Amino acid sequence: MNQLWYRTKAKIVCLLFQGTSEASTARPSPIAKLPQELVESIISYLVYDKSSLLACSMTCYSWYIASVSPLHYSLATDDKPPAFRGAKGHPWPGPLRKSYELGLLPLVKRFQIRLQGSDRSAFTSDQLNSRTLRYFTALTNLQELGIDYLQIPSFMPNIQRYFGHFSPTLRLLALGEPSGSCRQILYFISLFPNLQDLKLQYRFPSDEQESPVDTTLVPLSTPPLRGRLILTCFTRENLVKEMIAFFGGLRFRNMDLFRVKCARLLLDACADTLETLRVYPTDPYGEEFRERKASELK
Amino acid sequence: MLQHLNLSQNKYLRTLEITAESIVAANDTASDFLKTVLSSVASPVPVDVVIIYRSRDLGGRQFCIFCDPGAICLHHQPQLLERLARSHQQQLGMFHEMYNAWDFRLVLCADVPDCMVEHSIAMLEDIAEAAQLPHKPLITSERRTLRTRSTDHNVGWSGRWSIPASAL
Repeated sequence: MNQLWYRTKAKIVCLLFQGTSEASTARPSPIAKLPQELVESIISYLVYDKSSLLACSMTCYSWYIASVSPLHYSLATDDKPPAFRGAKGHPWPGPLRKSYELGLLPLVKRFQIRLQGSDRSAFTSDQLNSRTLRYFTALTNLQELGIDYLQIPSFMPNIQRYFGHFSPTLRLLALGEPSGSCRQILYFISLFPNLQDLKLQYRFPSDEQESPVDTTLVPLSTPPLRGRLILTCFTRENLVKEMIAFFGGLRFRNMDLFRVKCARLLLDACADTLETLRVYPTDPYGEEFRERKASELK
Repeated sequence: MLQHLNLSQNKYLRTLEITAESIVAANDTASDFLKTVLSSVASPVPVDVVIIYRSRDLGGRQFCIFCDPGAICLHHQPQLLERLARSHQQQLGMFHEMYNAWDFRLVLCADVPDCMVEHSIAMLEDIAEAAQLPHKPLITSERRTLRTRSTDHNVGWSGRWSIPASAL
């Protein structure tokens, strides 16, 4: 972090004084004398305002230290063509490499791999060669991980080698259209023993038959999973059953369910813990309610 | 539906959330849906029924050429805002009947980016007042930015959703 600060400082000096001797004679700003806790309190009001954070990080060392962490909280890569994002895209592994070279990856708490789902796009072990795996393993403090089109089978059987370093810190896992058997997905979830929130989203409900259970794969841990569960177009009832069996029940406090075939199973499994439920009147699995008059139900 | 979303076992349920967008999408069936869900609630204390309003439910729009990049645009015709307000006000009408049958607290929650909070709260207050409900709903907001917004507001509209994992 210090190395980066000195580079930033040099840039500030260069920008402000354009190489004149004023740089050496300028008086330090009184703002630099503020206690660090006050600076952090001020910065905390700006954590959602990236441009202000950037400006703060350019003022002085103490402000830089306070703002650098929220500034680099989130990192994302995608496969969108440039037209989607104006001037440039964020193709894998570009943002990861850049942050790695600047030594910023330990500051990243949320990492997202966003893919569009075209024929060629999927997150497989091919994306993690020796070099990119080095960048990936530098994400040492990650708390939230989101991956679209994760092909779990491509990482087997050494999946721990790729994702194991997230185990101590990861709290939230969001998977968009993950592929793999129920047991493989369960195994992947169990890589993270401190996981609280889980999000599994599919584009459409699937009626595909589940592949036979691979009994050789035994989950590695029992994550607490006491936070939020978000399921969309989810028809993999076996996965829920396996989670209940292996994790000794479910304890989510908050659920968001849309087009979930096994909603009842989930609601009953979290009977003693569920505090907040988000529902959708457009949920097609609730069609039967139209057949009954609400007055009969009062 | 009673089988699908039966909440009779969930004794600790305190909040039932529903998006304004899905109420619009469900049209006149939203009322029956909510009544059915509420009828299954067995929580010993009254639940909060929270209606989530996203930025576009309240007239916000992105990518306006007049606004700063990243800001939500409110450069709309006043007629559009009025139409939206009227529509939400009609939606709230369905709670008149429900108040007679169930004990719950209605909460209107603006789930919008920071730059829209003030406008959203004012709009929701107007909507709530115009709806003339027997009990005044609680109006609140969630702190959001473009960077942290989830994309699940798309859910319920059509099959062509974009569901990136970014919706953390």
